[in-house]
Amino acid sequence: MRALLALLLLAPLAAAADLTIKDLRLGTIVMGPQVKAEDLAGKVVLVEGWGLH
Amino acid sequence: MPHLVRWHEDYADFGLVVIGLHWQEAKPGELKDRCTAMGVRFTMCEGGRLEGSEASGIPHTSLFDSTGKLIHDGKADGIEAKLRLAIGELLVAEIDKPTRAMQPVVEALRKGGSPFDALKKLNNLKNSGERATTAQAKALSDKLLAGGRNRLERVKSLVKDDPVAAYESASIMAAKWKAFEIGTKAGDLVRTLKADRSVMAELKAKPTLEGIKRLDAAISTAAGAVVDYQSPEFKKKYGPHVKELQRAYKQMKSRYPDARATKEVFEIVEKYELPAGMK
Repeated sequence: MRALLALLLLAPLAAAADLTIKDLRLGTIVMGPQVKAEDLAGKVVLVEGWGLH
Repeated sequence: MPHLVRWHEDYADFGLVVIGLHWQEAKPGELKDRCTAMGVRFTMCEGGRLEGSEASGIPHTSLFDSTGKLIHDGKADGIEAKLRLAIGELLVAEIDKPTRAMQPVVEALRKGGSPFDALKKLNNLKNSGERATTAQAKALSDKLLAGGRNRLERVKSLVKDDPVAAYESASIMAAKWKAFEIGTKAGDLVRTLKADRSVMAELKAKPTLEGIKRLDAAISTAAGAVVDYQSPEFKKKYGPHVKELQRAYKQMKSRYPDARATKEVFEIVEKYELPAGMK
């Protein structure tokens, strides 16, 4: 039971750890450089979801 | 948002790509105008997501290293240290076996040290007289300078179509790279662009913009976070201050109609309900 609980708790962490830049989906670019997926290869990439309001 | 602006300015020349994903509803043009006012020069998107992320709420920050692996997914707290380490690893990735003289520079970068400090040390090592050290120092120095050199070329290409943006970017580069040739060249560009009419208008409009920002901030602080700008109470208490803001905006609109500062002031004063004919 404990093992199952630990597995359930750790599952989201494991999922996040497996993600890569290939999982990133950009919306419509409204300003700044017109970045494409291939431009991100070999770069350190910081992405922030945010809101004006 | 100010932290993203700063990180972009500090690290983009050394391999960082910053991307903003706006996750709320916004009026047409609102996002671009507000981001321009905040000094955003990195890629900004309407929407977008990291598939598989447990993101809930905003802001939500994801950081990928240069191999594409997700190394942070959550709040931005404490992320700058990870950012510097990832950039350091990227910068020294091609140096397999640093010479003894190169080791301190490589280690400092790997630990998130300043690339500008590394460049100063590399300038000495390039003339060390030891062939392997000289070659490694030159290769690393070229890598550290490549982003700045490329950005300066992009800024130069902006001069004809958007001198104000070119001026703003060149000013930032002149300050960031002041101890290096890139900074000197950026400084020369700044001096040339100061003679441009649209840049001159922008520079003249800036002090008024700053004054309006201070007055707006003072009103917001005094009135509180949740306030109805149209309520009779607000108008009675802050009417004279709002009129002062509106007067300043009208003056800017007539003197510097195309300046970005004027557009920014409009963003500030429009919430106070501008009289007809002032928009």
